[in-house]
Amino acid sequence: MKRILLAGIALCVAAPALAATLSSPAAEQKAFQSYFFNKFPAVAHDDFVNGPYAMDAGMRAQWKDILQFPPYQFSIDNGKALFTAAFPNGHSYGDCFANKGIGITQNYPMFDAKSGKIMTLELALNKCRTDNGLKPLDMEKGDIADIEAYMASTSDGKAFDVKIPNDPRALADYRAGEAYFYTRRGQLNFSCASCHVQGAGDHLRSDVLAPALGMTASFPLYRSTWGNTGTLTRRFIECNTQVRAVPAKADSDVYGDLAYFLAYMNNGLPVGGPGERP
Amino acid sequence: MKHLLLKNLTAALLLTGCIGVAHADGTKPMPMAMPADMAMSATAAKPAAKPAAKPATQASAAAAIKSAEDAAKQADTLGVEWNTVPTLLKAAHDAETSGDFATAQKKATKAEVQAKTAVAEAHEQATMWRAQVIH
Repeated sequence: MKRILLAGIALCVAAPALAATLSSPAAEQKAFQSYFFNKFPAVAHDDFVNGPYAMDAGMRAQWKDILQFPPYQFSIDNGKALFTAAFPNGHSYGDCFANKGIGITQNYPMFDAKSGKIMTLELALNKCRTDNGLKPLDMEKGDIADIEAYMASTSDGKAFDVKIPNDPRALADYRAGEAYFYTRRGQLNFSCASCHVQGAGDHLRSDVLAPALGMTASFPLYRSTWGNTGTLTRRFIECNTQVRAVPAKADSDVYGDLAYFLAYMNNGLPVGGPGERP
Repeated sequence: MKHLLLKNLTAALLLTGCIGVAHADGTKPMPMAMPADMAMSATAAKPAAKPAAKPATQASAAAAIKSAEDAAKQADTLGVEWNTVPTLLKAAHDAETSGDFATAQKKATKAEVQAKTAVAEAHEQATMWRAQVIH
């Protein structure tokens, strides 16, 4: 009897300790994807990039109608014009990227060995501008979202392939993003996971909470609630505000790290951006 | 019989322990509705009214604002400040400027409590987030 009691107590004490042990990023990615594939067995794996439209038939039907005239098309057109225009010094955005910036969205965010930090596409575009003597753009909307929309359109359907190189700083950035994702914050004491893991597929009034898997794959997004196209950073800031937390700065490391973690989880899923959401 | 009772007691203890662990991730158990009889007895057992607080003065309001700002700065440094706190601090400053020291002190006290709660939650979450990771 005493032995059973001791074994029970040991189990209760050991269970959370075991759960708190972190696996390798690759193992975590596999578990993360399996969690959502098992939770939503009727959803085709590639369809996770379509967020709420993969969860709700009514919303999906409306979305198909909306896509007859995609609201982000203006962003793609403007983004293409901006992307191909020459800077005053004769260079252009394409000169700052591999393959002249065409078909590379699936590789972002990426670890920058020089700075030891995560480079999102937005940060890379702004770095390109400052390297060429131009002011950085607003990271939430406007020209940067349009340029990203164009770049994402050139990667349409390509599978995400975000790498964590063998550099302890890259792993630290991944872990920082992971910690941010699972940490509760704000007056509502919600983490990103509260809504997009535990609440994935549930309704918040008429909205369907998108699953975390594939969630960042369709950015930039045209959101009806915004009335224009916005970046992932804009959505992060909005989410923080919704849980009544003071958001981080748009170009902060925490948002870069968070984007890195989520994009790594998306590996293997197709680029779905630019996207459209309610 | 004694053996059976002991067995049941052990099982109950274990179950309680495990339920405790299940909530160790920081999730708050759903509040349960209070039965009517308990609610009534709670009303009956209402403690005597607190003695009247000292009226707020310019000095006490300023001290409350200073204390709240210190707490808010700590939360901000940790990156965990609630967005309700700057609003409360602004309201406290506005009330102080207009000479309404009672309101200023009340808003500042509320801001300080919220800032300190945010810091406490951040310390709690520093390790607890790991229990949420999908394995």
